[in-house]
Amino acid sequence: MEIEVLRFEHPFLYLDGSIGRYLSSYLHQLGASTVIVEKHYVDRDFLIDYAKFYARSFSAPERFTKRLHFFSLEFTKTELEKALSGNQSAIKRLYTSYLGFIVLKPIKGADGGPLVGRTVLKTYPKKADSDTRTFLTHKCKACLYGIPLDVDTLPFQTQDMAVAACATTSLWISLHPLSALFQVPMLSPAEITERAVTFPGEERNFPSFGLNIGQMINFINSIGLDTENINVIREDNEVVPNAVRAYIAAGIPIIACLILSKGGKQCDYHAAVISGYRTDVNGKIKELYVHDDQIGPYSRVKSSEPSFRIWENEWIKYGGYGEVRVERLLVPIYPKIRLTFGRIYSVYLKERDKISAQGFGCNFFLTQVNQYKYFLLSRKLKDKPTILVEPLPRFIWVIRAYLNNEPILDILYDGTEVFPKKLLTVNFCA
Amino acid sequence: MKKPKKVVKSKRLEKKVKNLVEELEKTTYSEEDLKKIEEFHKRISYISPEDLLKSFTI
Repeated sequence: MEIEVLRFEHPFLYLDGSIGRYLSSYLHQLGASTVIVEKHYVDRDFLIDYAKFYARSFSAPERFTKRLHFFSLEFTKTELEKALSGNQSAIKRLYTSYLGFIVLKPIKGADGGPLVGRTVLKTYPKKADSDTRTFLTHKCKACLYGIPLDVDTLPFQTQDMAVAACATTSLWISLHPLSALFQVPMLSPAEITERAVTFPGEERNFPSFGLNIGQMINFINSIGLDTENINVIREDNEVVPNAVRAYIAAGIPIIACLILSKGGKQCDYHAAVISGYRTDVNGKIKELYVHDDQIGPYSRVKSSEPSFRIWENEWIKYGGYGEVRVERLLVPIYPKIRLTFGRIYSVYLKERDKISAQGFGCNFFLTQVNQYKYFLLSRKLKDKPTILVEPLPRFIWVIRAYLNNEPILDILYDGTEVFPKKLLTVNFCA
Repeated sequence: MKKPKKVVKSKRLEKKVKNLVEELEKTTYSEEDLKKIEEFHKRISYISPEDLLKSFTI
C-alpha cells in the first residue's frame, strides 16, 4: 500500500466539519508539521460498533478507517522510508516528535465532516508562563508500520448517534484511565450503550439518543465500580474546583453533567469529561480542560466566577446557548473508596480554618498508597523511614497544608473507612 | 549573611508547623459536628428519582 506523508497546514484538509477544525487548530497550537496517513486502519472500537450496528444496515459503510499520525518535526517520505528500513536515528526522530493520532471513520457526521474516532493527542505543555497545567493522562501506545510510538494523554472521540450520544462517549473516555487504574474492561461505545440500557430510559436503545443518569450509573455498576454523585450546591462556591483537584490527583475522571440554557430556559442536558485544569502561582484554578464529544479534546473552559459552576466555552461562543451550568459531577470510583467526597469535604472545611490561621494554603485530594509513598520517597520529611514502613490502606484522602506551592504538612485519612478516620500526619518541615 | 537568615526563617516555620500540628490534634468531633457532616454528605450526594431519569441527549 502507498505511504502518504503530508505537510501539516492549518486548516488541515482531512479535518473537516466543526470538530475537525477544532482538532486542526489544536494541532496547530501543538506545533504539528508533518502528517502520515495510514489509509487502511482497523480500529477496534469502530469494528465492534460496526459488527453490532452497521453490518446489518442495507447500505453499510466501509469497515476500515483512516488514521492520521502527527509529528512536530518536518520530514519527507524518504525520511519515513529510512525509519522503515531500520535506521535508528530516523526512528528516534519520529518517536521524539510524535504528537499522536486521529482515527477518521468512514461515516459523515451532522457537521459534514467525517466522524472522529479514537483520538490520542498530546496535551498542552505543562507550564504556561507562571501557571501550571495538570492533566488526567496515561501512556497510550501506537504502532506505525512496526515503529513503536506513544503519548501521555486521555483518548477522545466524537459521538456517533447510531450507537452513542454524549453520555456514552463520556463513559468511553472515562474507561481509559479507569481501565489503567482498576483493570476494568475496555468496551466500545456500542457495548457501553448495550450495558447501560439494561436500566430503562425514555427513548430507543439504538440508534442512541442519549442515556439518563440511572443508565450511566447502571453501566458503571456493570463494570464493578461505584459512582460518587456530587451535587453542585449553591451555598458552596468551591465544590467543582475541589472535586476536580481531588479526583484528578488520583487519576480518576470526572463526568460533568451540564444544563444548557437558551433565553433563560433550561433546554438540554449534556455530559462531558473534565480532563485537566490550570492553576496560577497560588494554586488557584483559573481554567478547566474538558473532553467534550461535540467540541474536542482538552477544550478550554473559563468561568467568570471561581466556583466554575457556570462555564464559558464553545457552547456559548458558537452553539447559540446563553448559559452552561454544571448541575452535578459523576465520579466512577473503585468500591473500596468508601469515604465519600461529602464526608471528607466536611472534615477538610473544618481543618482548613486552622491551617489558614497559620498562614498556609490548603487543599485535599485522593491518592493510592504506592503513589503517595513514592512521592514521599523523594521528599525531605520528619521520621521518613518510620512513615514509609507504616502499613497504610490502598486509598488515602490527604488534607495538605502548603506554603508557596510546597507541602508543609499532610494529614492522612483512611479512604477505605465509611467515616473519616485520621491515620497519621506527615511533617515536611524536616 | 544569608545563611543565618535562612535558619531563622526555617526555625520560624518549624514553630508554626508545630503549632499547627498541636492545633490539628485538638480537633474533636462532637455529636453535633458528626450530625452536620452526615447532613452535608446527604445533601451533596443525593439523587432524586426524577434526576435519575434526566436524559443527556446532545
